[in-house]
Amino acid sequence: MAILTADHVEYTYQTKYQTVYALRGVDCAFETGQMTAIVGASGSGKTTLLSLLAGLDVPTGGSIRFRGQSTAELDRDAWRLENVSVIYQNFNLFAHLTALENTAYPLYLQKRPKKQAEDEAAAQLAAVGIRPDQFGRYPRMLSGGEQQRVAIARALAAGSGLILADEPTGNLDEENSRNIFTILRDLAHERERCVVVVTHDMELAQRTDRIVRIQDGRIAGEDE
Amino acid sequence: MFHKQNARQPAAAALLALLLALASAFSCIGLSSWASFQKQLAELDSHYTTVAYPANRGHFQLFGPGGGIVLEDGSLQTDDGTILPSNQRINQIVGNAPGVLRWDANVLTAAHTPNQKGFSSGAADPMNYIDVYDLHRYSQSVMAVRCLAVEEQPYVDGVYVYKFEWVEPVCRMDAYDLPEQGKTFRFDTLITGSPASMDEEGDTPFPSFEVGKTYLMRGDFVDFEIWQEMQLVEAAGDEPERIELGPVRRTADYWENVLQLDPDRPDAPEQRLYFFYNWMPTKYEADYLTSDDFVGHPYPFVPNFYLANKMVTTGDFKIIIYPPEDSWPFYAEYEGDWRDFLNTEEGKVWRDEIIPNCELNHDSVPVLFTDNVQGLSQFCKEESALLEGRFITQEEYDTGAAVCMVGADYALYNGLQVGDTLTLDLYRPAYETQSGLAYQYTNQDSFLYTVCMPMVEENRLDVTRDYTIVGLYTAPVWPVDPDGHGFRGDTVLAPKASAPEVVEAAEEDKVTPLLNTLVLKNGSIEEFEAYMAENGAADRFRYYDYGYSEMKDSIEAMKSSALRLAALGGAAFLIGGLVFLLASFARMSASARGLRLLGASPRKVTGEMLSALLPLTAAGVILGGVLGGLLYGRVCEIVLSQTLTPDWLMIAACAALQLLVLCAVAACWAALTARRGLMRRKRE
Amino acid sequence: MVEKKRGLGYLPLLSLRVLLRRPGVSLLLAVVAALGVYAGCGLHSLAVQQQRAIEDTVQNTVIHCTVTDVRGMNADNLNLMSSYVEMLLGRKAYRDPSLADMDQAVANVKAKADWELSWPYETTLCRLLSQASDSRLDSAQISFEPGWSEEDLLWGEMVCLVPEGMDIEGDCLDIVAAPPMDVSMSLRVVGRISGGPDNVIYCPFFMPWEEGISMAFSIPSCTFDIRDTARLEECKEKLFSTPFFAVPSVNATPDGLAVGVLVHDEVYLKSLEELNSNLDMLRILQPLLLVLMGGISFFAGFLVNRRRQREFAVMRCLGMRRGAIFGQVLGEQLALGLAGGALGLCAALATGLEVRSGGLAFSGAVIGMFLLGAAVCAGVAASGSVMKLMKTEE
Repeated sequence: MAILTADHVEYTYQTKYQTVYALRGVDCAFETGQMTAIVGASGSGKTTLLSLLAGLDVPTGGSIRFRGQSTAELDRDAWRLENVSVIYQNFNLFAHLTALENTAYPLYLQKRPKKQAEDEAAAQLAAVGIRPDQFGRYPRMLSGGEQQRVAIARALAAGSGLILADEPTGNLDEENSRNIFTILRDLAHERERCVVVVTHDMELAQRTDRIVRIQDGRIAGEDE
Repeated sequence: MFHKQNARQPAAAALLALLLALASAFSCIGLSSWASFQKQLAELDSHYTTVAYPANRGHFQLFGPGGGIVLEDGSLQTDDGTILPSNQRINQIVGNAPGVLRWDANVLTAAHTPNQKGFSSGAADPMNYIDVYDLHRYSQSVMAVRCLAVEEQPYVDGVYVYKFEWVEPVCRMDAYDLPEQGKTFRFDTLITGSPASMDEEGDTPFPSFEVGKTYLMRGDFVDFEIWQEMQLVEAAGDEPERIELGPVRRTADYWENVLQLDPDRPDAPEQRLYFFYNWMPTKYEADYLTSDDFVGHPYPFVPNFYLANKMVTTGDFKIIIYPPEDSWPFYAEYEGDWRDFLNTEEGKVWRDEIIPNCELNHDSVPVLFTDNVQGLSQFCKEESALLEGRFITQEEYDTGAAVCMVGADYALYNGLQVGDTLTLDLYRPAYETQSGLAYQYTNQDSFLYTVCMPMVEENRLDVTRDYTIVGLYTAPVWPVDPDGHGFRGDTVLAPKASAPEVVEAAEEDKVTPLLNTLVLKNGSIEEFEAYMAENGAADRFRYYDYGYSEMKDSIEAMKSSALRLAALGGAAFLIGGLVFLLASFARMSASARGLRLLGASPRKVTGEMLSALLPLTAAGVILGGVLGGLLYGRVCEIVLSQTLTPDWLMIAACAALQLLVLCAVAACWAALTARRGLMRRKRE
Repeated sequence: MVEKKRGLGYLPLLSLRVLLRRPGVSLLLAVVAALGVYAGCGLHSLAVQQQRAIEDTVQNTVIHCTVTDVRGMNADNLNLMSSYVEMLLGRKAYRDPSLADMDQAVANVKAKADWELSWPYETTLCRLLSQASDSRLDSAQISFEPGWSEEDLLWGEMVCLVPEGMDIEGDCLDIVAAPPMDVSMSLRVVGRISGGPDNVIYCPFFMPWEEGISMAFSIPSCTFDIRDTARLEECKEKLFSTPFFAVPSVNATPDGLAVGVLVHDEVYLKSLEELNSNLDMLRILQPLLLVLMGGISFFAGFLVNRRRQREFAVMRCLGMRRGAIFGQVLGEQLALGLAGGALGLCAALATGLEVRSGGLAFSGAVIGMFLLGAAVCAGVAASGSVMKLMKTEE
């Protein structure tokens, strides 16, 4: 069953020089327990679509519905806190927080007690392969792959049902890319999360359950 | 690259520049305040003069209790071992004393005033008569007299006393009253016979004067003294009849009557004609009392005004006094009318030299050339004060401007006002300081007074200057000072540098400077006295500071404020500048790395960063400087009620310094940023 | 879904810990705050201290006055009648209403008059208003008989003080004034003077000539002080509002009634003017500099936190509300402001500044500006488009 749908989503915004029609009527659905890859050329609108799916903004046309409810009608901050985790190409970890603290951050936002939050964070970090001696390290002390794992751990710690990843392997080598993808796939298949991954790597995209092709702001096709 | 960053993010660039401008403005205002406060402090300091006035104890030291031994440096070691430093020793100690700015050594001389009359003590008010101050100049007179009697002096054989009556005044100041013509009064003279007529015993069988003969005589003519008397004041209005005690001037008739009633009355004054009875001066010898003396020392020789003396010891001790051969005559016999005598060969000297000299000295003033009027003890002790106009300024002292201050008495007498011109024909300094018994004048046991010697043609400097009167001062009638010279209201005060010829003459003739004072840095009295005490010269000075010590706390508070403002300004600039640089480099560091990754050298990257940063820095600093200057000028305008132009030069200098500092720091920072490692390493 | 707890949670504490992990920036901001507090306290304190110093100066300064003739001359040879001294002492109010309360305007009147005596031989009788009236007594010691003091010199008792070494038979001293007065009287000896002149006998200034008969007499000079320098103009106005005392002028015409009074206040007034104008400048500079300081603090808070925009965007992505981000930033800056403020306060105290409520108010204003800067920055960042911020390249 689709947990997240995009109904004829349009997104237009003004820049200094022009009006950008980033999305021109996108219809798409994403289901729990499924890993979907959104692929497309640069500037096709895939990151925009992902951002709208994450509730970072509302579409200018159409709607994004989460469990049937339009995100425009939701308290998107609270909704994101409870239901969405976003993983970025450049990790977006807090430079002055340790790996443990970064991971526990969403739990702090949920006002969980410190001990409880850190225990949960530690479990998630371990689950993604971060060693305990690395828990106290700052992001700058970790490799790219390790940082991305921490980002994933953070997403897991939040307990979100929806995991959105924007080019999660863009800054990683082949091996780390495969490992990350494996983790994400396991999240979808084994932990029943809805995982949406934006990528331009077709090889990795082939490993997902579904590929949605986007072109010029429109869905160009879907492949299972 | 970075220029474009600034151009495309104008808001950020503007914010940075504004931050720097505020910091710079703060700093400029802090510095401007400091500078203004310094000016105000200097202005405040200039209102005060701290003076150490030497307390002269020379006489005591030589003739102190128990006597003593004079040491090599002139100090006196008393019997109990105490060492009383001499004036020379004091000078040596003072040379290294803290807080000493300079010695003020004043030069006293006399000047002929062709357009004004001399102001004798009896001129403005006959009640204020002080004969000792009028000696040698104002009281100089030539009188036509007749010898009435020749009496042998009762105490010494062969010495005679001559008594005269006056016939007519030939030359004298109007201020001196004379009895009616024809009245007989006693005139005493100390002149005895000429040694030429003396026998081996020292007797002068032939007196210089003959009874019944008429003579022209010159000397100092002294008027009646003033006495306090009780008199009945009749009732008037609400005031009852009462007896008042006040000064009364009595005529010769009155005293004639009093003496007739009581011939032995000791207090009855007399009119007298003194001859200039000073001895011929001996050769000046320096001693510890008088070198660098503060009250004057034997005056330079003034010809024609001395009597010679000779001691004769045959039989009883006696001294005879006589006019020297090469001197002007002190008297001359004439027959008939003295006016006819003046046209004779013998009378020519009286007509052409003696009488004109007498008139010259009548129209004269003492002139005190000084570097600091307010340092004179009379002003310090408020015995003299400015009445109208202003004091001489420091610039006028320094440049020797032809300005002067005159006594209010003198100004009033001659109808002078502030702004008028006084012409002074200057003479070589020559004065004597005497110690007089002042009981009847001032109720002090004794006092020192200094009078200028008569002016003679030989001592004329041939320097005539016009001085503009800038101030009138009041002076005591009885200027007594136990430590030195006091001056009366006839004294002209002028800058020393305006008459270098007088100063030079004083040095040539070894005339002791008068009224020496030490000028100390304001607020240094305690330090100075402590130093003097450490060196065995405690209590040798009296101190006056015009109330600076009461102002000291306020002045210290001002100095503290000035410093703190400047420090605050500096700190604000440093902190603001640091934030500016931090934010600026934070903006540029990523792009700088990007440039390096593209292959640009560190030098190029540094240059690119600086080329974008420096204009921004300059804009901020310049804006801050202008802002600070305008704001500060506005403050001055509000407070001081006048449009003040800020010291733009100083603000510009401050801004330049700020720019320099910022550029230097920015250059170092840029260089470090550009040289940072390009590898993203794990940092522990 | 986990039940959310109430309260602030751990985040505020975490954000404070993070401050310590950015020592450079945190220290810089704390120093800005410290400087602001120091400036606020310091500027206020300077003005207060200077004001107090000026008040002390006014209190400690004594303005001397010299009585002269109306032309400003003859200060030491006045022939001033003793009734003028009575006026200055406030004892002649019945004569003219303007003389009432004159003693509230003047103080320390000094006057004396010397009369020559024919007996004791070679002595002088000096009528004395106070020991300070005669400079010959500057270093003298006066030993009064029991029950007598210097105050008695003001009144009209027929008493006297004699030199230490003078032989007196009994308690009284017979004196004879020298001609032309030729008056004799008997004075009770109430004290002895050591260290003064040995030929001067002192008596009260207003001592009657004979029992019951007072007499005005002339004195050569008179000086006094302004009673209260803080009320200088008022005292001068009181003095010169009478027909008996006038501002001297060289061109004045003596009328036989008025005498001149030279008030030696020129230097004091010039100095006071400088001091007051300096204080005024300081007072005006105060708010000016504080506004500038506030501006610096504002921009420091704004610019430093501006670097954290992406951080705020990530927080938004994680679900943190705008208000929570705003609050967190404000909390951090407040902590820095308070830490810096404490530092500034300590520095102020250590450098001898007086910390007063006014100064603290100024300091609070500067810290407020600092917080405002940070808040504005946080507000701008928190309210911005998250999508836009997330698209921003690092």
